[in-house]
Amino acid sequence: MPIREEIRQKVKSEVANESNIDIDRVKDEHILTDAPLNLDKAALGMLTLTLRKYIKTYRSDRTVVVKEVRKSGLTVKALVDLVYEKLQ
Amino acid sequence: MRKVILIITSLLIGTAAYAHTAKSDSVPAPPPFVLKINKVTKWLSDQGFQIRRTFDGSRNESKAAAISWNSDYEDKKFFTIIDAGLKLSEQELLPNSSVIWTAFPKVEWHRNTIDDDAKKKNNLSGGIGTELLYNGGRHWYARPFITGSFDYKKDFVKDLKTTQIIGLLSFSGNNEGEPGAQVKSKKGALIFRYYPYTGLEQYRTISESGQKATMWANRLWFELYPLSSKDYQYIQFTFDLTYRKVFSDNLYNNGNMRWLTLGLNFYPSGKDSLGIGLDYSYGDDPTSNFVKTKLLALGIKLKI
Repeated sequence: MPIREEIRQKVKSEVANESNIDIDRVKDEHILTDAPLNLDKAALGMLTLTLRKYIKTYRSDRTVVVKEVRKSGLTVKALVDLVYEKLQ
Repeated sequence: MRKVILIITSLLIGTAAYAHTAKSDSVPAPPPFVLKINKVTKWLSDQGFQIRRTFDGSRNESKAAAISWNSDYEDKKFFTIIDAGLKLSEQELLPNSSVIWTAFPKVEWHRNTIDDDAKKKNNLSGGIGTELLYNGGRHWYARPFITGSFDYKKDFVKDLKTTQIIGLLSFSGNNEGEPGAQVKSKKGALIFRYYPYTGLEQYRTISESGQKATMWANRLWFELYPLSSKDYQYIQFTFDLTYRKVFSDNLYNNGNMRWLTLGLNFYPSGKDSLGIGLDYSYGDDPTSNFVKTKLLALGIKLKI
């Protein structure tokens, strides 16, 4: 099972991919839908599918649903916490 | 017409000045009323509601609901326009699969107060929206999504009841230049994003006559943020053009149709939840049973 820091790096890497910015620019306090990430509905859906696949690699009985990732005001840190919680 | 030009000029000068001021400050404070409205919109969002211009299964879903004034510059008539849709919380139907398939109930209201039966609109619709996404890798063509809806619509002006089925395919890439991917400045600010759509639409009357129209819809949507910073977007320009190739139609009898909307929006808080904007629409209006339309409107935009 990955440790918290590994999960954090994985989530930040996937957020950076979807946002088309360097991973170093992704901060814990950034809101997914706001600048500088600016993830829209479709991008959040794609991010959900990537994270779902990651979660199921370790815990096939767990999943993440798109409503959780599209939640208003969700920050990078909150997303890391969500994935971490699913993997426990 | 002069009035409209004056409004546009004032808006552009005002927004540019505000954005410049805000950009030079490290943390620009939004006006108090914006903060209050943001609080309310966040509460509604947390309850699972969304408010948008429409939920027609396309990128239009990202447009804010609008209440606009002024408009028909051809006839110099002044009136109010309401374009709003309310979406309840979406439910995922296959939460453990490798696709996302969601469904959600929705209602929409499209109304204007033009005193001309040929241009007046007052439509209420309700139905189910759906969305299907697949992420098959890093290439844009491996990341398709389909959005669609099934609606019942009542047109109070034409006294027409119809059902409409819409299904549109698009892609969400993440490399610059691909559909849906963000084009960013060197500092990481969003500058540009576009989505192409293609799909089918069918409209059918609820009556014994059973008239219907089936068309192939092709759409290009893009947004441009000319004065974007890495933390805030104050000014947004949107372009949305749909070309409908008619396969069969004994309902509207319009032939092939075009619908163009251009928008120039200013967001005082640097976020797109509340703003003021100008909209220009031209062509066959899909929210009004494809009535010929040519409008310029200034209004308040609200997005939850």
